[in-house]
Amino acid sequence: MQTPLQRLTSMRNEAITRLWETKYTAITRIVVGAATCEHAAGSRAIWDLLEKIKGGGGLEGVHIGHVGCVGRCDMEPMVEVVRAREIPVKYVKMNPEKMRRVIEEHIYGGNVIEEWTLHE
Amino acid sequence: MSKAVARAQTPAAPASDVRKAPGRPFQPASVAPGAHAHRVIAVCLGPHCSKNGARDLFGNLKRELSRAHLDHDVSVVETGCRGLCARGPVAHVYPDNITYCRLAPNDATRIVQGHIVSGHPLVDKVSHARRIANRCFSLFGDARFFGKQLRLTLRNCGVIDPENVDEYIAVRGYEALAKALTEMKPQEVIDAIKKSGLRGRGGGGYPTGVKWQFTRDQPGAEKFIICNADEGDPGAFMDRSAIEGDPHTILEGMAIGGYAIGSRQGFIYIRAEYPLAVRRLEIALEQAQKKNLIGKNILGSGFDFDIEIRLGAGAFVCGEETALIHSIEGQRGTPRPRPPYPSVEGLWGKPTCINNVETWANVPVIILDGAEWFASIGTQGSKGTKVFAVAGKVRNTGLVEVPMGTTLREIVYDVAGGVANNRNLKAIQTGGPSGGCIPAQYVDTPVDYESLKGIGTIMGSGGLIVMDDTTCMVDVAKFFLEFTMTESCGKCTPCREGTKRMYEIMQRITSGRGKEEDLDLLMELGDTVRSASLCGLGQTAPNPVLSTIRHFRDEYMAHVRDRKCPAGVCAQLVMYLIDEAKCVGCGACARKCPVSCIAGEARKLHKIDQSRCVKCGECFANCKFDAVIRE
Repeated sequence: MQTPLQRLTSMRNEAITRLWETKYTAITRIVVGAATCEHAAGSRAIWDLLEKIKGGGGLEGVHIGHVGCVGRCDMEPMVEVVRAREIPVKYVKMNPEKMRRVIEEHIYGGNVIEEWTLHE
Repeated sequence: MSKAVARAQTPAAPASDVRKAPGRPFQPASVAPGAHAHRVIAVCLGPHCSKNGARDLFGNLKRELSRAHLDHDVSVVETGCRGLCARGPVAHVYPDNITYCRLAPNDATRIVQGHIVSGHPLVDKVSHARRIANRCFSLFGDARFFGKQLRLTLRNCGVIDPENVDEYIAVRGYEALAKALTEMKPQEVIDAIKKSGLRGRGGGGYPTGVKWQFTRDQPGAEKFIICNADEGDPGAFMDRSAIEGDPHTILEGMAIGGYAIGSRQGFIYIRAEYPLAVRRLEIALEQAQKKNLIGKNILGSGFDFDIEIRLGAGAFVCGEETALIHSIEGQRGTPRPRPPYPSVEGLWGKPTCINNVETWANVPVIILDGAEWFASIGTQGSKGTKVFAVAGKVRNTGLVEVPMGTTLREIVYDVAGGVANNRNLKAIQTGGPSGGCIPAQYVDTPVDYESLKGIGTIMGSGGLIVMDDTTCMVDVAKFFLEFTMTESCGKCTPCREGTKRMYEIMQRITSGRGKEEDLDLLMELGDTVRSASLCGLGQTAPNPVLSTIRHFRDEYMAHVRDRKCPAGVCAQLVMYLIDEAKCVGCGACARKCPVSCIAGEARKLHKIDQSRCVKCGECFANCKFDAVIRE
């Protein structure tokens, strides 16, 4: 009989495999902050825009996902873009218009819009 | 290079055995079997790392990857300083999120062969290999904000998708519960919590392990676990963010608590004003139940533990444990005298263990990373970390988690970026309406239960409001007193009547009708309310007033003796005048005045009609020539 720890270990391996297949093999991942604070700052509009574009057949091979808030209240809404073979980029104080430009220039064009990233 | 070849070169990682045999280092959860993804190795080429061979490492990594024909699947990029200089040279591997420290140039071969090709990260070089904390820092590399933080309870916030249980399980979620069920007896769990030195994070600071022991030692088969998520302090949002970012941690902590004290049923009491947090909890609970992590016979261990969510209507007093219990029972949320404490006679008269959200979130960390390690963080009497919601006049407001013993200066100036608009720090308020104000000269006080108590405030649940020199301390004290006055449940007289009378005196002082004797009267009343009230709400309600009188008596005296508000906040004590010498007659003030009480011809001296002035301060703020004087 398996111990609880052994059961959990196999559960974790399955979970990692599922995540790897659905998420980490995507060429690009967009992660939108989604907590009450992020919503209040306007992250829902960004999420809706991404869903609309995806629903219309755009953003092929791009995985979009949610996270809770990381605690940077004054920088919200935050959007993280992770492209294969590049280090992740955090965009701050986003809105749908800026998101559109990030999609054009960063996700399709491959150029990070430095001025909107988290830097101090 | 084709994907098929790369896949062949990334063989299945062995099922990582999470049990830590003595003396064997923990193997970080590594890559999943059979999957293929691009990796990035980010090497820090900041000045310190470069000096210690990071550039050679960078070149070696590229060469090794090309030798292994992996240069199309793994890229090596350079990053700026990541704040880990003491442990440099450092490199970070995405998307595995593994940070390597103290690398030598010839470690490149091992990284490529061991980690990339075989899927076994180099255990001896991994930063925090045995710790599940602070992953967030390596993810964001935001050294200023995250550098001084140590994220234990917030370890997954902003990192994982809170609505997907797989993500939590993948980052060693529920491992602490499984470990407790497999390897530890209930008493051993309690001993570990006792040894860790964890104290209640709701504000009281009662040793958690001792509370658990009391509850466990009570006779009777039925016992309850409660998570207090009734967060009501103005300006505080620690619990909300923790639940919204990582709800499973709370469930796991509660289940471990249930196992330790012998309870089969837990309740989460959360306010209905947090709809998203409630929804995330519901989703988490459903997923955990489906996976047999909560419910009957958890993971085949024979231990049953279920959790129910109860919504509160948002009364501040329901954060008090006996009022909270009444509210869950369906009665009016009013406190009752203690003892008997809930550990003896709680929910429906049964022994009940109540802890705060943050306390529960610490439990899996202690079980997983060890009580000794947890006890090594912090100060003599306060172990571990504390989450603060930093708000007010700071440059970067935010939710931070710092080790106990961090000074207030480090929190305000290093983590939160200093006071906004380069103004001077005047005071820091901790503990919300139950706490007090700390004047700027105590900014080097370390954050722990005893030090804060020593300067007249409390740790509280984690609200931290920064005030600059434009804040009137009398007004702040009045604000908090008004809050506790309206939130008083009315059951006991000292709190119901005392806070009301104190508020009336505060109103008198801020409107210029105060007397010097009022200060003594406030102190006397405050002392009575503090010592005679039934519950924590009343016992702490006078704190904001008493602590500001103690530290800012001058400001009170200016209000009562000179009828002046030095910060220019109390409207009835302020008068706006126009300086004849400086006014150029531009008319900016007249255009901004909401009641049109400023008149004057163009390019001539303007005048304020004092009888109609509402003291909004718009003219003062908008005059470019400093011609509006505030008195």
